[in-house]
Amino acid sequence: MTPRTLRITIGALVVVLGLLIIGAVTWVTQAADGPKQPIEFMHTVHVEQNDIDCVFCHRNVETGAEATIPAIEQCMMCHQIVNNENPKVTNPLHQAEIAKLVAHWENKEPIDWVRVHVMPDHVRFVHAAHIKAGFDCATCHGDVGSMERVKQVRSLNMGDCVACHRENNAPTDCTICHR
Amino acid sequence: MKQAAEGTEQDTSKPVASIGRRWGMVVDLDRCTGCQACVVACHAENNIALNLEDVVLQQRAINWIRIERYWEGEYPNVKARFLPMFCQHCNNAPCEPVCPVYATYHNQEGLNVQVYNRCIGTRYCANNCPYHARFFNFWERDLDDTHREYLNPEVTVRTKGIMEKCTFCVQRIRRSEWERRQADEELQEGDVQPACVQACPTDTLVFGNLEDENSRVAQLAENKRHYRVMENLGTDTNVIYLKKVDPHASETAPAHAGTAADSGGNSA
Amino acid sequence: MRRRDVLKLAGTSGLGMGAAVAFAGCGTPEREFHLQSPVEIPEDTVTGLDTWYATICQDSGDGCGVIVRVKSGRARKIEGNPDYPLNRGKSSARAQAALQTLYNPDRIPNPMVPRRNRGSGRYRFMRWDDVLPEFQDKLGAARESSGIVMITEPVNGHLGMILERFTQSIGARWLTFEPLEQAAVRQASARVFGTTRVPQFDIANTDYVLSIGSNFLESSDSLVHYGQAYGNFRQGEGRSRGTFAHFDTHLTMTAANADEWHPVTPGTEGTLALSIAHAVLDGRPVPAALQPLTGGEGTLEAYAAENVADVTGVPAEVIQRVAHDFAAAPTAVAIGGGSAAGHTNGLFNMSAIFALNLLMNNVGRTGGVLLNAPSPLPDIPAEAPVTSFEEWQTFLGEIESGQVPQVLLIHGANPVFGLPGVLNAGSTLDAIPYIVSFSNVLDETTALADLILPDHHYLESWGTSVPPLGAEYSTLGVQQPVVRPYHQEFEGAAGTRAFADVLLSLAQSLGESLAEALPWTTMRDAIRASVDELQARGDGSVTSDDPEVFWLSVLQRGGWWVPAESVTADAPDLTGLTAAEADFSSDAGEFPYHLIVTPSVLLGDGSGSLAASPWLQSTADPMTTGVWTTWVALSPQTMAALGIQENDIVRITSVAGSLLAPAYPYPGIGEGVVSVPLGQGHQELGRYAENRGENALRILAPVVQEETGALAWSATRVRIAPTGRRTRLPRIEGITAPVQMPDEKTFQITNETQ
Repeated sequence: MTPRTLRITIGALVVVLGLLIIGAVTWVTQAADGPKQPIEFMHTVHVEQNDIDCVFCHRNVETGAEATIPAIEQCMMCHQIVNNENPKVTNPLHQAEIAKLVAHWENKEPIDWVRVHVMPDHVRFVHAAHIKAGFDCATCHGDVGSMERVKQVRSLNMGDCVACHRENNAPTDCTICHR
Repeated sequence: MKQAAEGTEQDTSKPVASIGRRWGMVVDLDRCTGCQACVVACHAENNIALNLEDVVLQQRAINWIRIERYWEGEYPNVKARFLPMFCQHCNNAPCEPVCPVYATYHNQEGLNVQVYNRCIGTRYCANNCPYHARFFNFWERDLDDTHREYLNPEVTVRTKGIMEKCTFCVQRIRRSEWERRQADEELQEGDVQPACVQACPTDTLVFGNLEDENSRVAQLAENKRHYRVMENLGTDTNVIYLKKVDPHASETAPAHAGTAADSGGNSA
Repeated sequence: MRRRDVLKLAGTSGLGMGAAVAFAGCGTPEREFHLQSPVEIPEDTVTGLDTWYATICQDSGDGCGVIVRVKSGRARKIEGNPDYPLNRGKSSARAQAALQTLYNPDRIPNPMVPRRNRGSGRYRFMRWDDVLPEFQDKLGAARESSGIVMITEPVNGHLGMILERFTQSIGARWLTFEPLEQAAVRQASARVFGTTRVPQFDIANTDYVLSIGSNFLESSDSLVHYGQAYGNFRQGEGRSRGTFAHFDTHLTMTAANADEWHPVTPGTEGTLALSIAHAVLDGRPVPAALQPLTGGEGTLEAYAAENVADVTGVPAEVIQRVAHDFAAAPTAVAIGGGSAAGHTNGLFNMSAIFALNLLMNNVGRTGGVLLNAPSPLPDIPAEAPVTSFEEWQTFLGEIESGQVPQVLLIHGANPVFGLPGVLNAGSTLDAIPYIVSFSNVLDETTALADLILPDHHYLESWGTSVPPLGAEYSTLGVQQPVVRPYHQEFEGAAGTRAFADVLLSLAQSLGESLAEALPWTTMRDAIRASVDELQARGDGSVTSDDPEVFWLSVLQRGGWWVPAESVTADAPDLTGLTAAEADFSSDAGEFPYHLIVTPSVLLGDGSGSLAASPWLQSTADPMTTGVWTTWVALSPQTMAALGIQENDIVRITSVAGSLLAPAYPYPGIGEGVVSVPLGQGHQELGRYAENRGENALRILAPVVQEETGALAWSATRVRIAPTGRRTRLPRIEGITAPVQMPDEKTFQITNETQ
């Protein structure tokens, strides 16, 4: 092997290996459950069992760009009562997780959730406009109510967005999302 | 010219089919005092990098809008003139055809758009822009922690290697659009004001839809003082200037390129 | 640095209790992948949505009304308050840049005391509770012997009222500091218009503006107000274009906007005004009110244009033409100010210029001189008291002679930076045994302090302002905190505290007359009490039967105003004012050039912390486009004669000292005049301001205006010498050389006024 071909071979190997790693990571993240959160918040309990509307907690989704994660005050509106000492909360897992929330509240310490739907920095998504156009949260987020841990169900890459915009005759100008 | 579909009745003098809206600005030079409020307002709105002293000395300062100052005549009959200069959002933009990756293009609202995530930093567009309205990010942003606090969350913070320029505060246009849509309304005249226009104390800058003949900007654009900068180039800009009024104009020499003070070109 | 960092950071600290402390240690890229449930958010905050709060801008120097966009607990953008009478939705570069004085990385986050000795430049962070008792004891002790001195910036509104009562009740001496003293303008206004509140010149509605020295578009009572008026003056709807003639020592930004500008010999502005008056009168007798100005002659014959052309440097035909146009205009107004007010004969200059308005009989008329409406509340002052330079000299002289006060309190003023260098204010004040500063940035005066009790930024605190201009409305602008203090009091972090609140709580603890005079525990309470008084009036921009609704509406609108009733003032009284020639610090042979110190439209005169804003620092000076430093504007002819090239470092020497700065060939300046911009030359003030450029205030000769006791800051003469060294003046010009079409001008002009 000449040094030149050696370099090419090594280069090719590195590229292949890199692609493999990217592929593996993508496969793992796609297939697995969503990321572990600081508190095992269960949409199943809130949405499926207690039938709480998405907007009850993500209250800006109809008015602002961001759906927003509720402030702890808002969690405590219910969990003041439905706390870990409430006799009706019998599941030990639930008790433990609610205790974590109460601890955050008492220590006045914000909760750092792990972001599930990560948009690149150059993308501006406006929730309100999509809700106004009549889309259901589930169109993009899937059936969150049935997820133990929230995970991303749609690719939400640019092709995905543009295809949907075209189907629905929505504008596809670059500045709609990039600015 | 590109994209002009054949066989339709649209105005083929414009490169892109219009959707009844063409954003434009009128700059009344008779009002401008040179006070720089627009410049700082633009920096505050658009997350523009800080132009530290070294950056200025390397001639790489970024100002989406600047006030050019033209000296005229000799002491004591000397005058100084102020001209706000920014991206002219040309309908035939010289920057657009030279971009190899379509990072800069003309949209249906008359905006000359720079798409950051497409830009690969060839800088051809800046070289081809006769108005020098495009600026390149030579450095990665290195902001003090506290100076991050006021950044505008609606505007991308540009990274190294990307071209940027005046957007007519497109984030404000989009915002007004969806806010109106929330209320099932159409965008109204006066809804959108870019940051420079909103700050300008003298109302030198007027922004609006040039295709709406009732809009203030369209009416001012018909003012008999109107002209476009470097009209001969055929750039067909969406920025219309109104000439400075000077009753003594004939007594002094017309604006010329520089005096002894201006070894390095005559504009700011 | 990504946008999401921005959101994340704000999420933590603005809304959470943590303030800056909470995330001092983070910097990991994973931040982007986090979202936050904030806690303890103010009840009117909705995360994810913009909130706009109305308040008053204290950085701009005029107290203009602003609205501030707050998102995720951080101030993001400042705009003019569209309702506020002074500025009607418009703003200035300085108002915009307040975000950078708020989020200034060099703000003082906690109370501090110097390590080891004063001036060591190294500090120890303290807790409020640990430092306040000692401070209070020292104050109490000094009170017994009347040994307290308070130095502040000139302030009106509630802070002015509180300072007045506090100093009076505690027996303290209260000094206020204004670097470029406007005493001549105020006193001339008192003589001519009968009020020391300099009136509003109705530029918006006049046909002819005659300005002698007044740079109302760059350094005036309110740039935004006059900027707006100027726009209307030029191209306002339903009126014909106004005409603007300007006389000044050099072509300033305001002069550049005039239809005609003529250089005038420094110090002869009053003579020029009387000459114009002579031409306006055109043989008619001098009105009685103006008689004193004739010096007993009874006529202004001595001021005939041809007699003064040589002295003033203005050709006789120019004087006659301008006077003719001025007199012939349907409405006309004459404005004076700038360097003309800074001569030893400043009072004469200003009075003579203002008196031109009496000839036009335009006081109180549209397009003329409009007297300002009073403060809507009798006990809230509209005017800020100013200590004259003479009193400052006396004060410093007393210290030198051994009468040293025991405690010095400083807020918002920087006399060590702003007083002429020969006074050695720094080393003199250093003799005071206990100095407490309330500044939230380390400026030159604060560097002397034994204790620093940092104030909130104005966007974090309560206050009020009576606008400096406003004939139409009697206004009280209310400044409310729009964000929580960035350096918040929190376990482990002591944070900043509002100056007024510290004073009020001191007053409560020191008790007796102090507590009586200042019965409120916080500034908010004080303002609330006043607003309740306004509510009882039942008129104005906001009315409500419910005090709570009224209060909230006032905050929402940014203040309260009511159409002004006709304002009365004393009759003109120019008695004893006779023509005087300007005296200069030194002889013209040794010091051949007039030094004109010019406040920057961006950085002002350098007092305050504007120079800590990189936006203001890097925004082009309108005329030279220079940034980040100081330059010396010289006539190209002078430079050629002295063998100086552009960018050569020159030494400017006055009797009081010298400074070094690069030369800039300025086409709009005469051979005998040197202009140096102000705003730079800080030794302190943080990373963006310190050790750049020179402070020309330092080399001013301590010449006093006799009648007003003010510093004659235009009376300094200098000599210029090349140093043989060169540098590069950072300028915005030249970065983007425009393409000039051979047959088409970029800047186009028409001479058709319609």
